Amino acid sequence: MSNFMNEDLVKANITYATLFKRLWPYARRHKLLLFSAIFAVAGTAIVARMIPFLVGYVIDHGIKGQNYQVFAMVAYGYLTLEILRACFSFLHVFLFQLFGNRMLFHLRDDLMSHVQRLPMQFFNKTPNGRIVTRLTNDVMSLGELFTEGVISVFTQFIVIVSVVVALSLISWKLTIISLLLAPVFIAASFYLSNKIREILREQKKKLSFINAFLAENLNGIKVVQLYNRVTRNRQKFAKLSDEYLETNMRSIKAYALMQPIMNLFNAVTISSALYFGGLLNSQNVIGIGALVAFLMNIQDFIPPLREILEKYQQFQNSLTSAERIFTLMDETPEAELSGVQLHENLKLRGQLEIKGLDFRYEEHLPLVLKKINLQISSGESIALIGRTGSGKSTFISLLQRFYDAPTETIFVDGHPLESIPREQIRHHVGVVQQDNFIFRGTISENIGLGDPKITPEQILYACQKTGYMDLLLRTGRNINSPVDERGSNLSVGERQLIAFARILAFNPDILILDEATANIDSESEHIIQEATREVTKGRTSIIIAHRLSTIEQCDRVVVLQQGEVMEVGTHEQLLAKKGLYHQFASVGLKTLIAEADEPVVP
Amino acid sequence: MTMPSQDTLLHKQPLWYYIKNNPRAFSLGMFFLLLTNVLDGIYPLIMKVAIDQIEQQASLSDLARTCLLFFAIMASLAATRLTWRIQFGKFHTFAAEHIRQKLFRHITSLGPNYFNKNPVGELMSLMTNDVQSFRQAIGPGMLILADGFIIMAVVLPIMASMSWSWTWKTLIFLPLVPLLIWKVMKLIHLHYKNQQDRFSELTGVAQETVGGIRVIKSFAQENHRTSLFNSVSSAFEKACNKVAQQDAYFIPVMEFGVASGSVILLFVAKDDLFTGAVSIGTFVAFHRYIQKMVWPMTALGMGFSFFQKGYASFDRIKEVLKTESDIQDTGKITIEKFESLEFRNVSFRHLASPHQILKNVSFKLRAGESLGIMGPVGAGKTTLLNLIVRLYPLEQGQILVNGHSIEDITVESLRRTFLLVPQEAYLFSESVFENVSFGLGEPATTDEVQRMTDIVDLSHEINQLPHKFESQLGERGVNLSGGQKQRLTIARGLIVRTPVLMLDDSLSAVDTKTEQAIESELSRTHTSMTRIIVAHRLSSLKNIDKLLILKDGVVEAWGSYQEVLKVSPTFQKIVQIQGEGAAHE
Repeated sequence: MSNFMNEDLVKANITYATLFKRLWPYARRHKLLLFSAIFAVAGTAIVARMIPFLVGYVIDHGIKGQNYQVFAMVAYGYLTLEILRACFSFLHVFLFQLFGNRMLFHLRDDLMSHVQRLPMQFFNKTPNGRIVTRLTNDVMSLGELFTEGVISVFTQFIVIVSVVVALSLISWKLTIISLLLAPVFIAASFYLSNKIREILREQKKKLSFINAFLAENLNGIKVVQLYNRVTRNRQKFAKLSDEYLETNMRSIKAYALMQPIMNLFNAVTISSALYFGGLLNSQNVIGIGALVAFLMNIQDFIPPLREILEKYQQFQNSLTSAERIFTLMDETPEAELSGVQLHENLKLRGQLEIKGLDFRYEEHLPLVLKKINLQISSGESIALIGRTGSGKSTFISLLQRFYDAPTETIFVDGHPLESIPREQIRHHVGVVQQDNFIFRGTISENIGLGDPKITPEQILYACQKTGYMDLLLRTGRNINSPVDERGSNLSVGERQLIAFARILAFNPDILILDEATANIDSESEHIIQEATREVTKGRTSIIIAHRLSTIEQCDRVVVLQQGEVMEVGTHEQLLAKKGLYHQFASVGLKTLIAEADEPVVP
Repeated sequence: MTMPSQDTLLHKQPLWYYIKNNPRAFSLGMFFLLLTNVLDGIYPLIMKVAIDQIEQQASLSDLARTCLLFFAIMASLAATRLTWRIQFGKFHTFAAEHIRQKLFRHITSLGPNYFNKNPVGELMSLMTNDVQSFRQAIGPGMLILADGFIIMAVVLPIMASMSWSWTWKTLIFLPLVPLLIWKVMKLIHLHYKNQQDRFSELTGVAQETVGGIRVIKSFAQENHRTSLFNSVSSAFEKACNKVAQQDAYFIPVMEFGVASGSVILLFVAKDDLFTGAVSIGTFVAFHRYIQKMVWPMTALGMGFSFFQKGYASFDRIKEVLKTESDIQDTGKITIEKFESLEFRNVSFRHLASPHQILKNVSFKLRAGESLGIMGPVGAGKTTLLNLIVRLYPLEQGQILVNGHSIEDITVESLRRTFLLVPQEAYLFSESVFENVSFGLGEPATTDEVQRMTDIVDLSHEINQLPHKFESQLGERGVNLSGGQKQRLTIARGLIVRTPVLMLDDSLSAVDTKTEQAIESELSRTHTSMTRIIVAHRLSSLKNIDKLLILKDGVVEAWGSYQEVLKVSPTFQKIVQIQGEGAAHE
């Protein structure tokens, strides 16, 4: 738990080597793009080095050598080089980005497929927001890490190498003398760069505090105002904002310090190049033109170095994103037993048999279901009753294979459940939850879930059968009417009806229905009762029921308590038995049946 | 508090406003920037002297002196650069935080009407992105503009003094650069916006996939969902590529002016160089000066673009700052206890809605009476409660508290008298303890908080949390169930002990047993507290003196249980449905 909470504070443990190893499979898919980009980088670097050479050449051979021809030649050469430089520099930026974006697309694709195949446990223990961030922002950060970080550092490194090579070609002696102090400055800037990274991390954290505070206070503005908290929360915000300002200033100071280090470095290298260049020139070791070329080149040494140091911090900060993504990738998806294959043309009648089912979520945890034995014949409807924690939800999760029951404990039409792949069994076992997720789009898309196998006719039929069509028409809508995010423009009852219609459209052999306990207006309530009758008709149904009227519609009632089946029988039988069910029916059931007998005090 | 005249200045001339408020940082920054650029402009000249000395084989001690001078200038450059960056940093950082806090103060004074019109996401983006781009304008934006102009002012005369004809010939294409840069940045910005939109789309699909994972898995729709995700993902990729393309134009465009200048220099200088009329040092220095013009030209383009964006952002900020609250807190009367509440012919419709949500509502409630409000969805129950605590401005009719019109009562004392526990259980990412004592002026005692959570039957569950009452709620902490959240908000309401407590369907997710416990505790410990309760279940309305039945905004019935049962068809139906189960027992 504490691990989750401090996640952002965990430093990245991922190394560059692992990063490359894990990204390489994505990179290799677009080798051509990658190599063209690298070619463009090399091109840019080489062209840039040839320009000082040309200038040096014109000085030594044109001016000093008094060759007039050289001038025109060099001028045209210069023009060509500049045009080439423009093309290469456009290409290297553009191609690398294209390449990076392609990679990220594949990465997102893989992540999305992977995430959807993770077991329900994963979703239960991980906040949704976090998973979404992995899929979106973290992939984007990884992209920045790639384009701003890897590419930039790589490119600038090539530039530095090309500068050093060019310098040494002109005079290796002068190169050594001028760059003698380079290691000191580079070390100093790395030190500072690490400092900046820490400050940036801090800054990011402070900003996220501000954003979290803002989001919470603006979303909950009503509560803040109603409880007279406005003034106090303004003070709190001012404090956060001041703290942010303080880290901002620290980062500005640290960045400001970076610049002078580079300036000093420049001062040292150029002055020593000038002096010792002059010395070497007087000894006729180096021509004046070559010296000028040397000076031009050495001025190009600093900017790429600065760029590397600046990007290096981003690199480091984004590594956390990479680590998070790969951690997610390493989560184990729902697996099938070896040898399990899709059954061809699997037709089920919906007969269920449960034999001595024991179940616990994890080894060290207590049993949630104990020795369940149950026979449900095809077409039968069962009301499942029990308190919160009695194992009802676990039981239905097992039927859809969200968790795996021990082998040979659950049989569908005689097949052990684990012998039917999840994907297939879920086509045969349909579920209506208490709170059914509604997607943005249209009503029809929500019923068919966009599955191409579900025809518009089936959707229309489902709507009519559940009685939802009438409600739609009465309110001036149709099945193509828009649905807002999370179905916020639909009532609780309507959302329930959509879930019913989904079932009718997908037509599973076995239905699991978790009856809603939420307040539903009396009008929808009536339609829902009718719809319940419709979806359970002729279908094996297991209903976690809260309303007496629903229970009465079922063929049999199963009472669960602390993971054990306590009573099985019809409503009448169990009432007559005066056991647990009777007790539940009179007090324990959470909703209307329990409340009906309470007098309203006038 | 800032003076109104200052506010006008801020709205009209934000830059000037902040310069006036922080003159030291601004002028110091300016001074050192100027100094930096002068030094920066001089150093190629020293280089020229050195090269000429080398070419003319001057004595090594002369050369050493020149090199030392060169080093000294470069070293001072380091110092002045450091100073101006820090001073300017102070200037724009302070300005950004000032405007951010000002915005927060203002936004929190606005009523729900404003928030209904302006989604929180947009306000967040205003307070982060717009503040940031405003800061970019008056910080880096202004800076690079100043920097660009100063460099030109220093470098151009030096170049002209070296050779006027070279200067104009080599720099002839230069003015195009800022124009092109500005254009490219505008394009980048435009495509970037598109990229952001595609990104929100991508996030939307990801959110729905994760949120609806159970449905997706249940109906085995994983592959289909992935292909839907891939289609938005690919649209996002295309948008990114568009931005990348514009990005890639940036450097070639930036260097175009200088590159052309250097090529032209070779053509125009070749004769003078050949004859020796111009020294090699001059040629090298001139070449260097042309290179130096890259930045000012780019800076002009970038600076203007920053300014344009920043001022567009500032316009949005200004818009918000100028919005006046529709709830004017101009009342003078402070109330301390509750005597009576009266609605006189109150009618209400929400902004821009043709539909009247309350129609001519009148009733009077006295201290000591408790009120239950029932009615179908959309009958106006919540609106009625919201009007009492002035979340919305009244339009027609009057609401009187203790005989005073609510507009004449200070908002604070009104809300200290009536506490509304809203329908949706909104909690903060703080500890359980802090959430319960949210509405208290001074910190509550542990006993008090414990007592409240006892009443709502939550203490047991809280004690099972990892850090008990200190457990953090929300994304980073523990997740409570809907019912637990609701009970916590009731505890948060109870602890304030206002004379009137209004529960807006707050008991809906609480089971009957707990509801009874809350009820009996309330009548035992909070005897003097008047309760106004909106509910759907009859069981929630035990111990209620008066019932108000609303339907389509109209009072269908008002009075005691028996009185209401006689005249209200809505109520009769409720009793019939909720009583239905009783027959089976």
